[in-house]
Amino acid sequence: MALFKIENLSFKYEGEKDYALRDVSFEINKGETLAVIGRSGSGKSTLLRLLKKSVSPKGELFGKVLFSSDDISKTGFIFQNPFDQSVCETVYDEICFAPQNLGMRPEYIRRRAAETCEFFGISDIVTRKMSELSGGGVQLVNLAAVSVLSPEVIILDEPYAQLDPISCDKLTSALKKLKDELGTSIIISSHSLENILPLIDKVLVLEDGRVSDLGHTDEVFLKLLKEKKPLCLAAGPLIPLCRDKLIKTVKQAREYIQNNGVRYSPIKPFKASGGDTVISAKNVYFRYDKKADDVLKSVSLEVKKGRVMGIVGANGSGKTTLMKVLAGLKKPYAGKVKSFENAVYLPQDARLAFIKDSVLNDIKFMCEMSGIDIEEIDKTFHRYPIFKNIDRLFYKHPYDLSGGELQLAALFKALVCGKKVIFLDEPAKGFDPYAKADFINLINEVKQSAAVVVSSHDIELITEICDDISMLFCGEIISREAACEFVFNNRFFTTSLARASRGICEGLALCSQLGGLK
Amino acid sequence: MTLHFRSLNELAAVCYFIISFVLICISAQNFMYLIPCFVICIFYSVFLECFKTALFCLPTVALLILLNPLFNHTGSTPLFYVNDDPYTLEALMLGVRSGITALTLILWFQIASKLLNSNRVFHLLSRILPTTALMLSMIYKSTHDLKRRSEEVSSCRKSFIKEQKGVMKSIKLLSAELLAVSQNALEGSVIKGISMRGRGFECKGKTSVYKMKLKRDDGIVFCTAGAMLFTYLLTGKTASVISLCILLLLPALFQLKEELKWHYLKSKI
Repeated sequence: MALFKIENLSFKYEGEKDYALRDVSFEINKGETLAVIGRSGSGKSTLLRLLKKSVSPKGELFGKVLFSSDDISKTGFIFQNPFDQSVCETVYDEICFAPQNLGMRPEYIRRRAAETCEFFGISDIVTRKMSELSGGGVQLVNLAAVSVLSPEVIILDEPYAQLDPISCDKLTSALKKLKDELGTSIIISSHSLENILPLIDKVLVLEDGRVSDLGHTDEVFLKLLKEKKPLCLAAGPLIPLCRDKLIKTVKQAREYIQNNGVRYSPIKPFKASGGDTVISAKNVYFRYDKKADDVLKSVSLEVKKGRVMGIVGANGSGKTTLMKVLAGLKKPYAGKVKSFENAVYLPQDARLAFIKDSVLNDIKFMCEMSGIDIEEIDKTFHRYPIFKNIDRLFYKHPYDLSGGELQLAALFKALVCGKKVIFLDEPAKGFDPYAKADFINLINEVKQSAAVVVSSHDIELITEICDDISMLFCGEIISREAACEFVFNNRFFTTSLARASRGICEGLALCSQLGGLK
Repeated sequence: MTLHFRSLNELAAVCYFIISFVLICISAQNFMYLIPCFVICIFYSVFLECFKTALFCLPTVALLILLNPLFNHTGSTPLFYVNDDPYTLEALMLGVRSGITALTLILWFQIASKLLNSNRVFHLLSRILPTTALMLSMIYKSTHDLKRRSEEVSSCRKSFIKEQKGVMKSIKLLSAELLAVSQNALEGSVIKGISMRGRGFECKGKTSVYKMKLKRDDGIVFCTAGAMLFTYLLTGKTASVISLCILLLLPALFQLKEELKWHYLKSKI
């Protein structure tokens, strides 16, 4: 029996001329998992929000959304940013929030809350404050907070976008338990389904608000692959390996490579000839508080002009702190950081780089305050071909830009003010496959005139754009080598393809080497 | 170290701090009452490691003490004259009294914030005014969020625009930064609002998961505080001072009782 049935759904936001969704129809059965994929701005979030009445956006709706039960507790909804949706101060209060609102008996709430905490393995953090948890921890609590009502379906809008890989794994395990043990249906939108791919039954592809494809996971992704659409990379970097069968795990990829072999182009070689040193750090030690532990210990490195340097490491290993120290935003208590060029640091949330109501106003304000000639905006616009379409973003509010557009605008701003060293902290979080490809081109162009330092959990991306990669462990740099050597020398901190091809064929690490999408 | 007073029922703890606050205010009239209060507060602040805040207030208090005689010339013991106006010992002592009172109250609030669990105060309020309690709790939570956001906006801004020298430029920059922080916070609050609606915030007939359970210890604190309040108000000076000291030392006595109890129980393991 269909749990959800959507018939000819069209939707137009209040005050907008164009439809955000047009003629969308699909249905989902009990216990099924549906993934909604598409480019940024294709209408994924709008569709998902329309599936739960209490979070629906305002506007004109045509067509039908049929749900087997209209009860508010039967559908749970989880948003992209984990911190924005939490309401209460402690984990326990957050879990009890919804049942209290629905007027359940206190004894019943306590039992359900206890059960839910045990089910999700969060009993040990139940008394902790939400502000003390990591993004992944908060997202898990958010999932527990909607699951406490025993919903029949849970809708997740880009739940992985703000999380690190370990938190992604934890969230996936929790979703798997919900599906397997409780038979909960899941509707998820995400740019990267690599983690959750084995759980997905159906895929719906949205293109400019219309359903361009709907069907079984394997069928849809293989069709996208045959059409050479980068959107197929939402299924992970292993997909271009085989055109007849969807490869979902590293194990399957390994078996396929072993049995069938694979053709690939060689990885880009390492260019040893480096430019001038723009920032050098020697024996740097840093801690946030006198009584706290060292976050950086004896860090020494050099940032060179015309090179892209990558920084990888687990959560809490000191990546962000190292970038802030190198950018001159934090002072080390021991050691020296010498800067020969102006540096700029762009945080994980690139929206914070803008303090005015439009991109152009913000750049003009920066020019006025820093005494930069306003014509520099025009010069930068013409100097770099990659910025040829940036003028369409000039009059937009920075908060209305997608992830890829934000990075583009922020890098443009940095180049206008003549920064020669650019630090990018987790720039590709929440990028769709198209934005990722554009970002690689952008960095390749920017590095001609500036040094770039990137920190990311996405090893595939970092290997693609960086010349050399440093690995941080407990505040110390334990290795620094060329990107191509880094992926082959590591066993765990490497790409899925490198793991799958290890010992079978040498020199395969990147999806772009397979060339299936070109 | 576990602070046992925090485990008391929120109603008992809040009542205790209200009674003690009222008595400290009344005691400000007389040094005989004020000095013990001050000493007890210092004892607590050293024990609870919250003395630093008081140290920051010391210059203000000292200024209050020294400036009071410059504006208040009442008193019969002039120490010296400033522009023909007497700087009297009585006015100086009045300044000392006001200073110590201010410092005692600041310390007592610090102690209350350490011994009262903010969450549980909101729980107490949530039984009477659930929406107001949730709003207050969200405001309390958002102050931390705002601090984090403003630090990030500020550090990012410093990357692009250095600190400005002129006053007007600094004001312009600061206001733009404040606007950006509030904009960021408002953007988040829209999602929060939708998420709350999605979890039934607009439904009627809310319940509270927290039960008002008064235990024996809560009763002891209630009775002792009440008894000390009556003794203070109805008896002579010495008995009043003693009852005031007992009242203020109640959290310490409670801690001592619980520690002894734990030592006894531990010996049985």
